[in-house]
Order: sequence, then structure tokens, then C-alpha cells
Amino acid sequence: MSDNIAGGGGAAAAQTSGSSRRSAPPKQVGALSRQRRKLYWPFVAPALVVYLTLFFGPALTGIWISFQSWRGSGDQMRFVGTRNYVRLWNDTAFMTAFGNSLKILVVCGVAIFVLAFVISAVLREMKFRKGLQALLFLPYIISPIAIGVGLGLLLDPNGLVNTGLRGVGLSSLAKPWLSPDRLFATILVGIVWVTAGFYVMLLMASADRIPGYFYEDSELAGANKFQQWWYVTLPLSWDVVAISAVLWVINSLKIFEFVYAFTGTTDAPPEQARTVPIYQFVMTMGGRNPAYQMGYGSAMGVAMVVLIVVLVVLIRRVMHREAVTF
Amino acid sequence: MSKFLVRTARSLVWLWAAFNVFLFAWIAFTSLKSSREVFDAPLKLPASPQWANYESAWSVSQMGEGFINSLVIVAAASVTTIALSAPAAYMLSRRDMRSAGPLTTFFAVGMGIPLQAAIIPIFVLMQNVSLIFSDTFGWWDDRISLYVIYVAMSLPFSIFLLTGFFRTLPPEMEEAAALDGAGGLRIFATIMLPLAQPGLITALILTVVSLWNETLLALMLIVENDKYTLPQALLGLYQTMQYTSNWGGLFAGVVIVVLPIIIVYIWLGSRIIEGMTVGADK
Repeated sequence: MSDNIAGGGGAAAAQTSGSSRRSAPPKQVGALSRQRRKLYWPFVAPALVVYLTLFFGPALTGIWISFQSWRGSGDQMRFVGTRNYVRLWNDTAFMTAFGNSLKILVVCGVAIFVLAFVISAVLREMKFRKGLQALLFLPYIISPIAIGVGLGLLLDPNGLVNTGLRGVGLSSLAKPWLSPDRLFATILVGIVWVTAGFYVMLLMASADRIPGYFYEDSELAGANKFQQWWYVTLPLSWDVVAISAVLWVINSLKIFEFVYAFTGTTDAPPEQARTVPIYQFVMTMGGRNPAYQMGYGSAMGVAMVVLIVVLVVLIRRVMHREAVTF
Repeated sequence: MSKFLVRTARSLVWLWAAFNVFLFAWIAFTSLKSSREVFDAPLKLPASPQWANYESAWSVSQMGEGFINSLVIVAAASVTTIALSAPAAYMLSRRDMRSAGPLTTFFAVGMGIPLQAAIIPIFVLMQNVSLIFSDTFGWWDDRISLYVIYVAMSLPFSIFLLTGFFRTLPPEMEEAAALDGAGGLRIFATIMLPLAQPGLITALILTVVSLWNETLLALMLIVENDKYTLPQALLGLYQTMQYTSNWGGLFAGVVIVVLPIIIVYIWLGSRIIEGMTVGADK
């Protein structure tokens, strides 16, 4: 999951990029500015070229490929119009994967944000809060493959969890956690466990900026912990909550490794447990005999971007509020 | 009621943290157990530590090669990323040119594009690059493909982070140096870069951590066993497990993957946390 680190703060970009421009420079600084202008392109161009040719350009090309029938290099591209998209719509396997991705987005999303709110509210005043916070966050930066292997043994039919449950006389609760039908539910819980710490951290960072006298004041007014959170913490960290929601949309939809790791000994997770990125992998380069359906796979990529854009715009609309300054 | 809720929530935090500690300790102990102990005594300490598990994971299962591959690719890609983003971010933060604002946004857009949208063209592109090089020079290494793509996909966040950082640096020192007659290049190299060092280190660590765990691109671009990155090697080991049942060896592999990140986290954890919250925490 930590490849998502790169998504950290993405949402804030549009906001910060426009702000904090210094006022017009005084005269002697004009020389400095002129100096910098000369170096502007030599400094910016290398990064721009790499980003354009190896990331942004390919993403654009993906849109083009999504309207083709194509099996990759060496194969003649054939324009098929929107056929790949129609096929997505009618493909029950894709719809299952799409539904699963949405389940991660919504079910895990709700769980993660509720937990993050509750935990960040109580963590503020707990002893060892830095250490506890660091521990909750730890799984987020660990290789999802490694975590998948660890959980694989923990939840094995004869693994620690089931042995433990049987040991204390709860054998009826011992379940085949990784069976095709139950695997996805297990994955949902796993994602919450891995990810919540990151959002706790984001909320804590914003809560730390709230001056203490707000809390002292509200305490004098007789507010309990919940009221303090509702009337002080939440309104004053609303921006961060909105940004976290955007981050979650971007990060949750591209979860690949964590699901893939549970495959263990097979080529791909069972159909019931696939997400869009997994299904794209299966239909293109994944498995022992890759299907190389490049046009179809690209259409899935485009569908993801469209979903992200729609959701991000929606979140911004719904969560937009007058900024509270303090 | 409120008191009760707070107490429950606090216990939840403690339980959660305890579970995380337990899980990592359990993984470490399991990596030192014999296959029989893994299931017979899952909670006990290893009777006698089986260091041979590490030997087998490292050499027989090619985790050693994976470690070196990952180390070289991740280090090279991270350093290149910072080397490209630092000058670009410096210029973008200074806003001397009209294009600086739009370009900053353009780079930031990259953070919202999921890898899945670009991965198929990337795959085909690198296939072609590999072909062209093999035909003309008789040689190409897929690890180079992985390296360049890692750089490209790390740039948006790194530039975003560093642009924000350069913006916080006061302009006075630059101005003073310019008055003394220093050129733009010298100002950047001798004044701005040293000032920006904390930001550069944060960007570097975050890039390292995220690339160390990256698996999807590696799975797509790297075919030969001896070129596998560490997560790929671990997956390979996981897949052979069904024949060997060597859980101890597998968990030794897990530790080999996880330990470097934990060490970095203990050493530089506050930097990681600061860097990751920077976007949300203006």
C-alpha cells in the first residue's frame, strides 16, 4: 500500500500552487530574477521531459489505445470505437471487480474515517501518544506483499487464529478465512488495519495546529470530549478532512499489491476477490499465459481515471466550506 | 456514556498497537522456527533459532539477488528523482516565469493519475526500447526500464513536496548572494541546496520507502528470475512454498523485505511522518 505514499498531499496541490506568491520584488532583486530566468528551462526541462515521455504521455496514449483492439507490440492496432467500453459494461467479471473496488472505497472508507476520527480524538491526550501513533502507522509503510504473507499464515485454516479460537473453545468461530468466498471480506478488514494509521496521522497533524485555548475554553463551558471534538476539532480541521477524503479516493482505487499478495500460490485471486487493478493485470500481462488484451486493459485504466475525477469533483463540492481561520 | 466511550476508544488504541507489535514479533520468531514448530508451537519462542532459514531464503530462494537488485534500482531511482526534482522545484517555487504556476499544477496532476492508466503504454514502450537497444547494441537490461519508470512516476510527488519546501526558504540570502555577484547556478548549488537539505532528505526517504515496496511495475517489466526485485523474489518464494512447506524460510524472506524499512522508520520516522502530512497540513 505504501506505493500510495506518492499520492500523499496530491489533493492539496491545486490549492497551494496558486497561493503564497511574494509581492513584486524590489529593484536590485531584478538582477537575481533575471539570472534565474536564464536557468529556468535548463532546470525544469529534464524533469518535465522525463515526466512527459515516461508517465504523462503514456497515460494519454492509454486513452487512444482504449479505442483499439490490440495485443501489444507486433500486433496491428484495429480501431473498434467504444467497443471496449461496451464490453466492460457487459462483462460480469469486470463488474464484480468494479463492485469490489467500490466496496473498498466505501466500506473501508467509512470504517477508516470513523476509526481515524475516534482514535485521533482520544489519542491527543493519551500517554505515549507519539509511540502509539507511530505503531498504528507502521503497517502503512511495510511491503503489502510481506504483510500478505504474514496474514496468510496467521489466517491459514490451521493457523494461529483458528488454533487460538479452537483452543479457547470457540471452534465454531474458526473459519476458512482465505477461502474464495470469504477472502474479500478478510481483505477489507486487512485494508482498514493497514491504512487507518495513515489517516490518524493526517488528522493528528491538523489537530496539533489547533491552539490549546480553544479546548480550555470549551472545557470551561462544560463541553464533554465528544462535544469538544464536534465543536472544535472537526470544524477547525475540516480542510484536512476534505483532502484526506480525496487522497482516499485516489489511493483506494489503485490498491493492487495488498490484494495480489493473498493470491499466494496461484496465478491470480479468485474472481470474487478481484479489484479493477487486479482484473486489468489478469487481462493484460498477468499470469503464466498473459492475455495481452491491451485495448481492453486500457479502457479499465481510463474508467478508473474517470471515476477518480468524478468522485474528487463531487467531494470538493460536497465538502466545500468557508475556510475557518484561526 | 461519554466516559465509557473514551475508555473503550483508548483500549482500542492500546489493543491495536499491541497487535502490531505482536504481529511483527511473531513474524520475527516464526522466521527462526523449523517447519514443524511453526504449526505445533505457533506462540512459543523458537526452541533453537534456525538461522539456516535465512541462509536458504538468501541464497537458495534468491532473496539475496533480489535484495541487491532492489537496493541498486531503488537507490539509483531515488537519487535521480531528487536530482531532477530539486532544480525544477526551485525554479517553480520562485515564479519568475509565467509558466511556473501552470507547470507546478501540471506536475501535481500526476499524483492523481493511477499507475493503471499509464501502465499498458509503459509496458509496450519499454518493450520497444528493449528491442531497439538489443538490435543496435546487442544488449538491454529490464532493470534499466524499471529504473527509468520509477524515476518518472516518483517525480510528481517529489516536485510537489520540494516546491513547497523551497517556497518556505527566505529570499534574502539569495538576494545577498546576487548582490555579491554570484551567478544563478552558484546561488543554487552553494546556497539553496544546503538550505533545502532537510526537504531533500525527506523527499529522498519517502521515494525510497514507496519504491522499495513497489511490486506491480516490477511484475510487469521484469521477467528473468535473477533480475527480480525483493517483493518479486518474496512472491516467488511464496509460490514455491506449496511444494516445500518451508514456512520458516518464507518468513525469513519476509523479515529480509521488512527489516530495512523498519530500521529506516525507527531512525528517521518523524521525517517520514512530516513529509507525508505536508500536503494536507499547509
